[in-house]
Amino acid sequence: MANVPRTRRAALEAIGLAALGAAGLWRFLTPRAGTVDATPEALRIREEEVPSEGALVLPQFGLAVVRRGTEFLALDLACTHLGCTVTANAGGFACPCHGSRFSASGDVLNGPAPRALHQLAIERGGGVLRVPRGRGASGKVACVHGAPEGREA
Amino acid sequence: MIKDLAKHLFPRVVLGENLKLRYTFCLGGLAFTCLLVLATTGLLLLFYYSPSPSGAHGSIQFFERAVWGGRYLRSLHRIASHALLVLLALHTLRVIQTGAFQRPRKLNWVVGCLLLFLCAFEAYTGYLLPMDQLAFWATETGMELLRALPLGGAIRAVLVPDGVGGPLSLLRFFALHVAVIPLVVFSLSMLHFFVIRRQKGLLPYL
Repeated sequence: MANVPRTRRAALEAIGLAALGAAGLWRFLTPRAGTVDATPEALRIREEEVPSEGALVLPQFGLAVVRRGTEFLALDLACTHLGCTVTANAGGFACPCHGSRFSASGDVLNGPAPRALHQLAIERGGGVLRVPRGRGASGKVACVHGAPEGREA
Repeated sequence: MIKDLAKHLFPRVVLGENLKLRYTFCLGGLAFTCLLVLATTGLLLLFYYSPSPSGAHGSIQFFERAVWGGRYLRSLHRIASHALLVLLALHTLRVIQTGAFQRPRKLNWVVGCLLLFLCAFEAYTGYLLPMDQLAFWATETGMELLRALPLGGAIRAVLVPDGVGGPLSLLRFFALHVAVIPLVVFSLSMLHFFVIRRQKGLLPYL
């Protein structure tokens, strides 16, 4: 340890690094509060949360909300083939299990899926969308995390 | 000796010639670095992981979505685990190629082999923890393969008492993954390094 420089500069650098580390740890330990208001039956999503290009994908609730001009579309993320949760990509949705691909509006592009993604009924009112939970989130293995209400993003 | 080990894995004075990378390619050192990365990221993952069949997958989705650096830390944990196994395999090959397993270094070869198997088992137990489809079926496959081994049924009964994906099985894999195996791996690693240091004079670089 004889070679460690005991200068003011080194001490300040060490304190700075420790402060950075502590700030990072603090940020890590305080997860982002969610913007989606979820109850066991339905979600309340503000309309401005849905991006004009692409979709608001909520895999934890098994659904995605797509904006179509002034209309909104809620798609159940459960693949119509065997029920795996599909993932969103640039062109639409893809199923990781057997390779089915869906367009951004849920229509089958190719793969073993026999039908378009199931559409969930949306109730609109006061700039808020009320959407029932998708089936994709209630599967045997992929389950909804029991986080406190309002903590889900 | 212990003090020496704590301060320097290598002696204080080494010939420059003897520090050439090609003696070991530093594969063991790199593997141990991976192990340290895994321990650190794993410790942070522990803050959010929930070891129950209904909560596990959701807790990981939550970790990736809402926690600052969550996706990065989880990816780092996964990639470091792959790197660890690759580096250990290369390290083993290097030891075989240079004949470093021969007497009087047999003890370290045996310890190293134990470490290799333990790390593979550690990776296997970690595979189930996310509880996604891949985790579930890969673990199911492993447990079915175990049936073909002598005493496989007994080992299976201990590892997955209520079947792959049951609450007790997940908790056992979790306990093995975060406590039991890491403790043994780190203890054996210390023994591994201690023996290297004690056999100084045996090798040009020690």
